[in-house]
This record gives sequence, structure tokens and C-alpha cells, in this order.
Amino acid sequence: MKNILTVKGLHASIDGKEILRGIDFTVNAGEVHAIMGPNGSGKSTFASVIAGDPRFEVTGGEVTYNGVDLLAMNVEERARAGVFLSFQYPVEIPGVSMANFMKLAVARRREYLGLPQLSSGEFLKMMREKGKVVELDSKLTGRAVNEGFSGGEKKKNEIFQMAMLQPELSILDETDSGLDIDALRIVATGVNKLRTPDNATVVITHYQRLLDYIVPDFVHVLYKGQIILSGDKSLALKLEKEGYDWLINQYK
Amino acid sequence: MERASLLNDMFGTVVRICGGECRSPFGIMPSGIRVLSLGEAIRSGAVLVEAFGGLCADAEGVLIDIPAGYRAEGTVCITVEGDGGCDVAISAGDGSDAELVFLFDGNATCGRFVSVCHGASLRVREVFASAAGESVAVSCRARIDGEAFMDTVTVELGDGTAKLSYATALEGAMSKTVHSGLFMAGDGERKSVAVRVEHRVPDCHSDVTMKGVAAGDGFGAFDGMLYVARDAQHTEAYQQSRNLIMGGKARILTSPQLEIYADDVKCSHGATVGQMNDDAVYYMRQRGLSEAEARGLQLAGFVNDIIMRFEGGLAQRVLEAAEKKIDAMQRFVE
Repeated sequence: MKNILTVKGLHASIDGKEILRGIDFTVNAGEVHAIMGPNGSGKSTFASVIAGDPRFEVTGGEVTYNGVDLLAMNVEERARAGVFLSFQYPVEIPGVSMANFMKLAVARRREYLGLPQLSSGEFLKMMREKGKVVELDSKLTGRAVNEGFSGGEKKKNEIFQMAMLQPELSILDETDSGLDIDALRIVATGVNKLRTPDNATVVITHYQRLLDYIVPDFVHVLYKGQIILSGDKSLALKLEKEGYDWLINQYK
Repeated sequence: MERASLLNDMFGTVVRICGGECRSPFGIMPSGIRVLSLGEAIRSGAVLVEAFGGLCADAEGVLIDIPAGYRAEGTVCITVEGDGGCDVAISAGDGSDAELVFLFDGNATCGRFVSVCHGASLRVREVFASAAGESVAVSCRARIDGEAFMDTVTVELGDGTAKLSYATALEGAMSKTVHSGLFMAGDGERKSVAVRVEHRVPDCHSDVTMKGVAAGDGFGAFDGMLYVARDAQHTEAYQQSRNLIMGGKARILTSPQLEIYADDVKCSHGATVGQMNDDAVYYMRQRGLSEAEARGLQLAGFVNDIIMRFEGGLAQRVLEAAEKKIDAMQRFVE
């Protein structure tokens, strides 16, 4: 099975405060991993560090993506190579149309993959088709990026962009937060549609509910910047029922 | 200069004013609009200076006479270039409908005097494209009669100095003026825009939106004034100044002001001065755009709604010129 991501002893801090304290984590093609854990355990930081958020400083460890040193790449190089982060809080960008934004993003990704660029007609067709993956109204793709989108629309828009860019490694940072039941089903179904034997998904979530739709192969619990337990999908069910206390007590 | 010629091609100049003198033949154009010597028109009594607020009796320059009832057949393009001063008077006759496009280039100094007569509709589009080291100064005065409408779009993207001032008087009931503008002050550049709108009678409408961008040690200023006379009840007047600062040394001073003497009006004014949104830049980089692309897209997003008010192919060409300006300004970020 092809290895996509290998993280060894990853340490990272922000403003001198250490958040990640030695994470080991491996993702192979075709797998779905769920990362759970109490608030403040470092889940979003982990996602940001893998994406290359310049606010975080990596102080130790190594990360290999498709055999190359991911930490040596900047944010856009990682994105073009197929690392995708679905943001917990997607940013509104007034005046920048979704179409212009995605056109550039898709062009950069295709450049990296050595694929020919799309004509305007092909691109618009792709926008329409991929919009259907998450039932995103085509009117929204004609508007400015996330401007005036509802919480649910913003999250659908993240998965729409994922569909457009066809990443190899997708990290979904609390994509289920702020979604009503229908939107959750649509977003999760969309993510499942995008699964292939060649890509992998890391789902960060607080709730088992999302994992009913996106069934994980592995569940990891992050606590104080370390993975303290890994298991299969039954671990998520146990956490849902019993909380984190029993695990944290063992850890202490 | 390259940018100016780029715009020239597209405009297909009809009236060319160079070094303070009109270089195009006077007469009636195929569209029916008359282009006359302003000095001769005043001396012969064909034009009453009183019809244009502030026009001197010894003014020299060009008179653009749009006949009553005229219906727009394409645009009339006027270029003002080279060194030297010149006045341009524009008379939009009763019920006429026309569009004028101005391109200012070089060290042009120009006084523009506009009279929009009853029920007329006049669209003015203007691009300022002076090169580095050049200085353009334009003073525009307009008076608008009852039920008439003037819509002005100003795009200043030169590399030199620009000093633009506008004073519009709404003199007839139900008249309306809309002015949307943009100035871009790159490194070493000074841009100032003053917009005064006077509501002298009741039931008029005005809307001013001016956007400014400054980068490097560029400096921009907006001085806005909405004046509502004592009897100008039921005035609706809005004034907005939106500004973007790129880099620590860039400065924009904005002062949107209201002076209201009537008591039954709807007026607002506001100003913002902000910076590039770093979260938005990160978000776009995470989708594969370079930092320069992300910043450029954001800046284009800020200015595009003004530029898109130009019509058709004109919008595209001005957009291309603006993109070049944006690229140049990007170099001075950080």
C-alpha cells in the first residue's frame, strides 16, 4: 500500500508555546483517519502545521509526504502537491469571485501534475459538475469567496474546492461544526464520493456523528499534543459514550 | 506612456487636446454632437458663461455641445495630454443621453465645466494615466438641472501625481448624481481627490464612493463634502471612502464630511482604512496560489467593482491597465 504521509516526533509551537509534543502518525493511500480529542489538545494545530501555516514554528521531528520532506515546502507548494485543508473557519474574501479564485487554484494544481490547462468552457463545466458533489447552488460559485455564505454553505464550499482540486491528502478540520443534520449528510456524502484508492482523508472531529457517515479505518486520540491512543472505529463509539476522562486518567 | 497609448488605441480618440490646444477639427461630428472652440462660442454669445458655474469669460478650450433630445450613439472620447492647460465645457441639452470618455495623460491641467440640462442623462468615464514624474491637475464643476442625472466613474492609475477636484451642484428637483472613483498611490506617488456635492433644492439624490489604495511610501487623500441647503428637504445623500494600505509607510488621509441645514433628509457618510487580510492570503495559498497571486487577487477584488462600471470592452482594457498597476504596487509590499 502506498504511503502518503509519515509524521515522526513532530513538535510545533506558536509564540513560544509548545502545542505539539511529539506526534507519530502514518497515513496510507485509501485510508480514512479520524483524530479526536478534548478542546485545546492540538488537533487544529496539527492540521495547520501539515498545511504549512506560517504562524506555527516546527521545533522538531520530520514529516514525509509522498517520499519528500513536506516541512521544506511552503504553503502553496504543499497545496499544489495535493495537500488540502478544509478550514474550520473558511475566510470571506470580498470582491474575489469563486470562479477567478478556483481558476487560478486549478491551474496551479494542473501545472504541478503536468496536465494540460483547461479551456474556459471545460473549467465552467467542471465547476458545475463538482458543485453537484455537495449540492452547492451554482449561484454561490458565481459570488465572492464565502461572502455572505451561511455556515453550512461555507463548509459545502470547502468540499466543493476539494472536489475541484482532487487532492491526495485531505485534512478536514471540524468540517461538521455548525452544520445542521441535512448539511452534515450532504457534506459527508460529498467527502465519500471523493474517496479513491489513491487518496486519503484525515477527519478532525469532536463527534461520532460525522463518523457514522465517513467511516474511519483508524481513530486517534490527541491529548496535550500527543497521540495517546489509536484504535479502530469502535474507539470513537466508546469515546462518545464514556468521554475522555477514563483515557486521560490512564495517561496521567 | 505605454499604458496611455494602450488606452488611446482603444478609445479611438475623437477630440484630442494636446499641450493645452485642441488638435482635432471643430465642427459637427457624425454622431450629431458639436465640438466648438470654447473661446469663440463665448465671444459670439453662443454660450453664456453663467450657464456653467465658475467658467471665466476669457476661457479658451473646447465646447462639447450635446443637442437636446440626443440619444447616445457610442461614446465620445476626449484625450487631454502633454503639458499645458485647457478648459472643456460640456453642455448636455434637455432630455439628451450621452457618454463621454476622458483620458488624461502627461502634465495636463484641465478645468471641466458641465451643464446637465433638464431631464438629461450624462455618463462621464475618466482614466488618469500620467507617467512617473508627471503631474495632472483637474478641476471639475457641474450643475445639474431638474430630473437630470450625471454618473461619473473616475479611475486614477497613473504613476505620477494627481490632484483631482469635483464640485457638483444639484440645482433642479429630482436631479441625481452618482460618482464612483478609485485612486492608486504607488511608491513615491501623491494622489488627492476632493469631491463636493451640493444639494441646493429638495428631492435630489447623490451617492459618492471613493476607493483608495496606497503602497510603498505612497500617499493618498480623500476630502469629501456633502452640503445640504436649508430648503433641500427629502435629500438622499451618501458618501463612502474605502481605503487599503499596503505596507507600513503608505498613508491615506480621508475626511468625509457632512454639512446639513435641512431637517428632513437621509444622509450618511463613512470611511474605512484597512490592510490586506493575511488570513485571506493564507487561505488562497492553501489552495495553491502564490503569495503574490493571492495579494493581487485580493487587491483586484477591492478595485474591480469600480472598474467594472466602465462599459463593455472599455472595462476589460482598463482592467488590464489596472492589473499592471497592481503588479507594480505589489513590489512595495512589506
